[in-house]
Amino acid sequence: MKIIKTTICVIIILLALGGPFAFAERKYIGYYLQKDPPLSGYYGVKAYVNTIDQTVPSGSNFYCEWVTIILSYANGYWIQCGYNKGYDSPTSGALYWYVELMDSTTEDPEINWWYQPTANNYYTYFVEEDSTYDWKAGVFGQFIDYLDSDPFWSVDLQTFVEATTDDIVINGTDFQYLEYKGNHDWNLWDQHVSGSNSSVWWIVDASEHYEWEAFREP
Amino acid sequence: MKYKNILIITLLLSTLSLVVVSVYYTTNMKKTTTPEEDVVDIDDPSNRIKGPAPFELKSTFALITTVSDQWNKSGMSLHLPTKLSGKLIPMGVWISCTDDNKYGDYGIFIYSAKNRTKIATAELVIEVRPGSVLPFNKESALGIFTTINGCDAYIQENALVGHVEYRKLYGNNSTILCIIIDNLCYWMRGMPQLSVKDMVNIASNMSLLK
Repeated sequence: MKIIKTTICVIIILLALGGPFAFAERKYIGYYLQKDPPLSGYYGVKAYVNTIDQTVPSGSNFYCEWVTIILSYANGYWIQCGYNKGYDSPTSGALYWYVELMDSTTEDPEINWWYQPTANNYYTYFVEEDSTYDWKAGVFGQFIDYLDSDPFWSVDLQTFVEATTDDIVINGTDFQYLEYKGNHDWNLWDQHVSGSNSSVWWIVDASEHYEWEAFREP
Repeated sequence: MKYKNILIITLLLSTLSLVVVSVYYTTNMKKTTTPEEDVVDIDDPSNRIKGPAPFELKSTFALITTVSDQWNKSGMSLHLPTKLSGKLIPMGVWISCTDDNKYGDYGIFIYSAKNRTKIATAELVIEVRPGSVLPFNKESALGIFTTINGCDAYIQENALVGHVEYRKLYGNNSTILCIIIDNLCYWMRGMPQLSVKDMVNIASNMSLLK
């Protein structure tokens, strides 16, 4: 009986120690482009994405859906374009578009907010090479941001849903027509790797490589 | 009696599993955090960073020798440090696989003195990819362009890091040293305790891994 009591105490202590880490973890689900980066990097990423309008738990929570060009995994540099709903939107809890840049010259990640997607509408998000600046990012027919970056090349592409908690019901998530720009031409994704660190979010391949949907298990 | 024994064994196994998980967290995260850092401050602006999904979710953690063997066979001449500062040791390499289950030609090599294997938190990481030019604009980059052992290199002190976990361990800055050797581009990120001199010393003593 003494062994059982001791064991239960140890379990409780260990669970208490582990709890904070589970709280801290950001949740992701989506596609990486599987290809190795070409010598000159990628010149763009694009996707046609549904705007879901789901409930966000109170507190400092948000979810966002985006396309991203990775400039460096080592230092954590990227250019991201997507939409967001949560406490950090300019109007808390509202849907907003945004473009986020983190590179070796920024003091902190720069985020530009744009007003405003309509729920249940699809929009085409892109990050793409530009002739004057290094990059342009935005939503077709809505807005364009122009950006310079150091480094100027890219090593990977991602299309993901991200959230502070996977309690958020991401049903309705739908990414279509994923495209990458290799040698200055747009191509549908022809390889991918799914990635997720959630045990309750699920991804469905809607085509072989360039369309996916996601939902939360009931 | 039999039921009691099964119960005890089950509880002991559960405890063992939790100890393993706890040791993992302890070695990878807790040793260098203070108690107040255990819980993320959700009002801290750095926690609003959105950013990409981690590379670890698409890759596997492999032995450096396994990767270098394959790369050498495919004509990629991998150079790695032979003199490391402090007690840094090579931990392994995060690398993704291609459709035919071979390693890709982009990998992130991890060095740590504290058994850290995550890209965001290891003391020294080296991102390697094919490339013959430095990926920085000479007009706008904040660092200096130089040569090390005749190889083109770029060094930037106090370069910002986008990983939130890194920021909580080391602060916002790192040293970047980027060098081109035999058509491979090596991007090194060192924690702030590694000086520019340390980083140059590491880069100066890279040799072909056979």
